[in-house]
Amino acid sequence: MAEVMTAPLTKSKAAKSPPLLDVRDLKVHFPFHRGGLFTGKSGVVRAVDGVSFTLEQGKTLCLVGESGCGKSTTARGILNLVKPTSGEVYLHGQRIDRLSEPEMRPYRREMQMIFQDPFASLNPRMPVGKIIREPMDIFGLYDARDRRLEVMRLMDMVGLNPRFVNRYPHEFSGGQRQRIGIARALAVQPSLIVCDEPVSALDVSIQAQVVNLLKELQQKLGVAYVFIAHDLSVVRHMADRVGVMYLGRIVELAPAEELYHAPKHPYTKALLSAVPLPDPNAEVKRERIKLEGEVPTPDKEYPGCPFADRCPIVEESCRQSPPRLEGGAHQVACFKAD
Amino acid sequence: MSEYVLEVDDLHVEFHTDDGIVRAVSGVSFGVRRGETVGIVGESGSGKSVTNLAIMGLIPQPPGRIPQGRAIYGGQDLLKLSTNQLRRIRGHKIAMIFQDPMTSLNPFLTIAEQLMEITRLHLGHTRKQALKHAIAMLESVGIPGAAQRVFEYPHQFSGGMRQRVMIAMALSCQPDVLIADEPTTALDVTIQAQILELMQELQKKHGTAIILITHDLGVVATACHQVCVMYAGKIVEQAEVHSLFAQPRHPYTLGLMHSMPRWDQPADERLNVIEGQPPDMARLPTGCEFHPRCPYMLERCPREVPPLTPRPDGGRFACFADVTTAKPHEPEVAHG
Repeated sequence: MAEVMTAPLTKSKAAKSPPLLDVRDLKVHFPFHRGGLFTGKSGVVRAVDGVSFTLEQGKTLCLVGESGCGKSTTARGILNLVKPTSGEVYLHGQRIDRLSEPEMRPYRREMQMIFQDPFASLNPRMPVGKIIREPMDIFGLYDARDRRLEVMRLMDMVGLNPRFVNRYPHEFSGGQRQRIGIARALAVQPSLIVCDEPVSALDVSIQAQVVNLLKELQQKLGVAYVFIAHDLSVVRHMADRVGVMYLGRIVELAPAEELYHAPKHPYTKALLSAVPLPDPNAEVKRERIKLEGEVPTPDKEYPGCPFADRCPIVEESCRQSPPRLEGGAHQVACFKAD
Repeated sequence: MSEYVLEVDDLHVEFHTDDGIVRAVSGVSFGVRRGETVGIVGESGSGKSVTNLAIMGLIPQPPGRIPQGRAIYGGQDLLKLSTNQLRRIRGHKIAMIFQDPMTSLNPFLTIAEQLMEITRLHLGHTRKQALKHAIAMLESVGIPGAAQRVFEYPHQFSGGMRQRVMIAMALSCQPDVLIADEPTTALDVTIQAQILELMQELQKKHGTAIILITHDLGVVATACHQVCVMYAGKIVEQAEVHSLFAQPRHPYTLGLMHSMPRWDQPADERLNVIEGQPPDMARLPTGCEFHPRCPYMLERCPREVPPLTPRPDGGRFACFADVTTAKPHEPEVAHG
């Protein structure tokens, strides 16, 4: 009886506290002008065109899609690194998308980023210790002695030998550099880390090490990730929920296991069937859904479903109005999804 | 006459650097038959690209040096040919596709000019013949509107289309051997599937022998007949693709297979990893190069170099341990 009484209570309590990150109908459009001053053609690239999702504390949401689908721009829009054209972004229930840079400052500590290229994202002239310490300097955390200790602790936590604190980035391999980037992101104890293709540039054996590290750190520290990737296999191992993006929109958003088990959108199905499996027997038997053509350019407005031109199950009605992302836990934007 | 169209025998390539001598390739041997695809898998720095650059005579000397080895094609050793003799074979009998189609096409020339150059040089085509051939080649690799698009510049093509142009270019003289160095790594998966299929189709039609260099075991399983696994400049295992995946004999092959996440299997708590970092090629470990990262290491491994021995089902592997029965243990070094 007592259980029945407390259950709805805790539930309503949880419902009151806002999600860590709440993105509503985010749009990022880039105006462009091509050609001569008077004769050229102007238009808008709809890089992100209406993306909505929420992310809870300590969870991982992965955004997947092919190049140009808007996944990285979505990340930058969330972090307010590009100004969203419209839409709302809430962190801990506070709206942050309209804030100026000084107003953003306290929120910057909450949101950190890890980049794809472990070579370009570390200052080659700074020793590792300074790279990891810099965010603490900026936000004025700890005194000098504690900062030094904290750097050592962080290095140890990400699996780098603290003895290497005075070495420079070029003395480390790709996987170790990515660990430096992770330590730097963790230095200010953020509650959200946006990871933009953090393992794409790494070798397979090192990729697995970094994926494991990110998961371990999440369990230990309760940090949430927005994880951007194009590799569906890696995503399955990282994600609690997955959003599949196409032409600036999320076409399917579902709990990871469900998305891989029972994909609903024809694009998700095609994408999964295109990933080669490391198993020659399975490869022979597998049915491939072939997608004709290529991803269309996002510089036009599409009246209907953006996927219509490549969709194997398209119908005339799909070209008239765009499908909306609908459903409960497993959302899909398709008129014909089963 | 050998059964192989192209046969590499005991190839060594070294580079003289400030860091000392880097032995990028040491003692690599393999062959590729007509109509067959040989996959060369390995991680960055394993020597897979250098092996193939050496075959094509594209290693700058100095700093590079090829102290030993042969690459037999059509009864002659490619490594002994003069630049002029090589030029007659390169792009004609043996062609190459690279990872990045943007940097391997000339941005100042139209696709037509770049395609015509090859057949005019190697097949003695007139301009008219060459243009006709160029358009036919673009059509065969599935570029819509080839007759118009042939006059466009590389930047007007998308990544997938550029890679198709590269394939058209490589195949325009119907080469006996095609060396494809990570041809799909820069492409999206749906485009990768299209390109791999195209290569297989063209291979069936012309009987081209393909050497496919990749780091992706999924691509190997889809597109290759034979596989060579490279580590630290050596082939550590070579086998027919089905037997390799069914029973990897080298701990590195095994580790690679296990550390690859698969989307069709439920996620485990942790991915299996190969501990440690790839070796520093200027300071290779003694004995077996893989021993510091190897969970099957035996006492003799740091001292002795394991020779390539036959696998029971054909193929070769270089390991003292028997991974089919031995229990893995913690390797010598942890990461850090």
